[in-house]
Amino acid sequence: MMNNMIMHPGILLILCGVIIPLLGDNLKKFITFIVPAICFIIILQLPHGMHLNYEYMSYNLIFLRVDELSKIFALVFIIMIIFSSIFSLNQKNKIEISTAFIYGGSAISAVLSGDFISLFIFWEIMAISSTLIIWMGSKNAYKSGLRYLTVHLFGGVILLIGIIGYMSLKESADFTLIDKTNIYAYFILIGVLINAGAPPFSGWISDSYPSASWSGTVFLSAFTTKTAVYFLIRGYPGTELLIYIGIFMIFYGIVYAILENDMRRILSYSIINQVGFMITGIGIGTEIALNGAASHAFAHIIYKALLLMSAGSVFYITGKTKCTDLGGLYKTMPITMVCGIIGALSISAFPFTSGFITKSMISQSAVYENYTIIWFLLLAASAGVFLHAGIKFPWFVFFQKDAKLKAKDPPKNMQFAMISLSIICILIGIFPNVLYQMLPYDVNYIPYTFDHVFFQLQLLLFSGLAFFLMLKYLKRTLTLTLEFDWFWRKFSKILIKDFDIHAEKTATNVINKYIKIFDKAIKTLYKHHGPSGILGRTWPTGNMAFWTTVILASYLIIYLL
Amino acid sequence: MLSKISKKTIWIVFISLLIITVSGDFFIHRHSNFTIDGYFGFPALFGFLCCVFLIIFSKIIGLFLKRPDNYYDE
Repeated sequence: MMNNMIMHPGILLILCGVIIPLLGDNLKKFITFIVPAICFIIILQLPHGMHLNYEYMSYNLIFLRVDELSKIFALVFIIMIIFSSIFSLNQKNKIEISTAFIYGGSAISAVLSGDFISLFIFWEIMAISSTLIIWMGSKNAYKSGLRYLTVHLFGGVILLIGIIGYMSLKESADFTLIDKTNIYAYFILIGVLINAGAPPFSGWISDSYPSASWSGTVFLSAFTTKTAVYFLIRGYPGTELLIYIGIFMIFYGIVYAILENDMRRILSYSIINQVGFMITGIGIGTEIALNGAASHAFAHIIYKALLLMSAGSVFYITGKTKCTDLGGLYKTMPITMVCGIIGALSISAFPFTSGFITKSMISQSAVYENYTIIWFLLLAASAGVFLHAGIKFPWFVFFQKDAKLKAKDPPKNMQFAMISLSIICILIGIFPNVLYQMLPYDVNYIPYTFDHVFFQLQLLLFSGLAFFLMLKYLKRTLTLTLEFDWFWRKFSKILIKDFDIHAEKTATNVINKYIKIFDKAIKTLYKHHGPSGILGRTWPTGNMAFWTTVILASYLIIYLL
Repeated sequence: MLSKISKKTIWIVFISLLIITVSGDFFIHRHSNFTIDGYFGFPALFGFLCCVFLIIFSKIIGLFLKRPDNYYDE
């Protein structure tokens, strides 16, 4: 039943984001600390069930649907906001934190929504607020932000078409397991997959996230793709197509990250790769697979934030993001290095880190469902993750050659945020049950067996060996790698240019033709009405008297007849 | 740059770690899901070969799709 006494944590955060710019510096810092903490407590204590229901045009809007699945996502979102706000306290741009609150708040609200209408509203607020965060970044941010917004508005329109069709078909706005026997379900799926960074729309992640400021990227990494993952877990579990999309994303992320030079772009590609693991799990769709996808999203948000904080600290201190400019920072930024390595080990699913206990559930589900090839591909991908994110990121940023950069560890608050997240990564790795208890289904899975740990260690360490033996082939170059967005960033330009040339020719021809006709008309008019034209001449009075007499005479004759 | 000696020590430590993890297969009977993955040293060989393949594959993709850094800038 209705229980309007419950505070909505997401909306509280959005409202805070709106008022923050109006506040003085000290009050602002206080609110940045206290409100996410309050929201954290509210989320922890949310009672299961549907709350804050409203009737709207015969549809039932549910602003708070609390169950294990929505709660675990809301919880990790708020943890992310707490530590990222602490990390970003030194950000000179005062508006960024306010938009970040609106962005994070709407992500929390979206995962807590129980119906399509309110979910869609928060979905779109996310798109707009995240664009604003991108725009507060570097000089190139304006253009990539615009591309980001275009992709998301496009995805939003497709989602809206699907939602409207689906709602009118089912005569209800309730968002539960989606019935895939109608076309609208696929519109919704495409709209959501665009937000998840699935091909051919994966380019927006690596294009826009690295354009944001050193703190903005941290906020951006968590919400958009993981809200999409949440949507898929709830709406599309067991859709086989998702397995193949997921596998594609996994390898796409690895290959592009191997070729990439900019450290924040490497990490952006690894977001696509990690979301690929989750989507594969959703495609497999059994209880253990969905548990794996949800827990992997939880672990991923935390270690990805940690990795991007470590990269953000390097950017904040040195002002550089390209691997070709970086290196040798282990001496000057030891704390950032250690935290970065913990994040890198977690993403690689090293034993005793958070990735190990979550990703293995997805692989195990492939075993249970007899997806042999998928299992081997996931295994190859685990090796590949260690290669592109686990070693490549720390090696090129903190070791390799000494770039002789003047650097020191970042301010205390940034260190605090990184160290806290590192501790969370390790704690989850050592005490998996803390996370397992929060999952949507009961877990009968034991990650720590001798053979599993040894298996993983062999796999990862020999991947490391491959990395160091082939180091000369991995040398960084000042390049970027084309991807699908080439079609709208370059090809469309060529197309328009070509079209321009032809259009100009055609237009000139057509215009010339009409100008000729017009000219002719003017000339004819001039001929008859001009100074020497027959109709333009001044005629003698006698002439007129003559013609008047003729007319009068003919009139008289006709009358007499 | 890491000094020559420390570089050597790191390699020695790393290689001994590799040997330890593989020799673990003598003592632990790894349970297998799909027969082949239970073989001695399978994860080590598989991980190594996958990475070599991924690097070569990326290199080939890179031949076609790599562009200078300022490709999109006017």
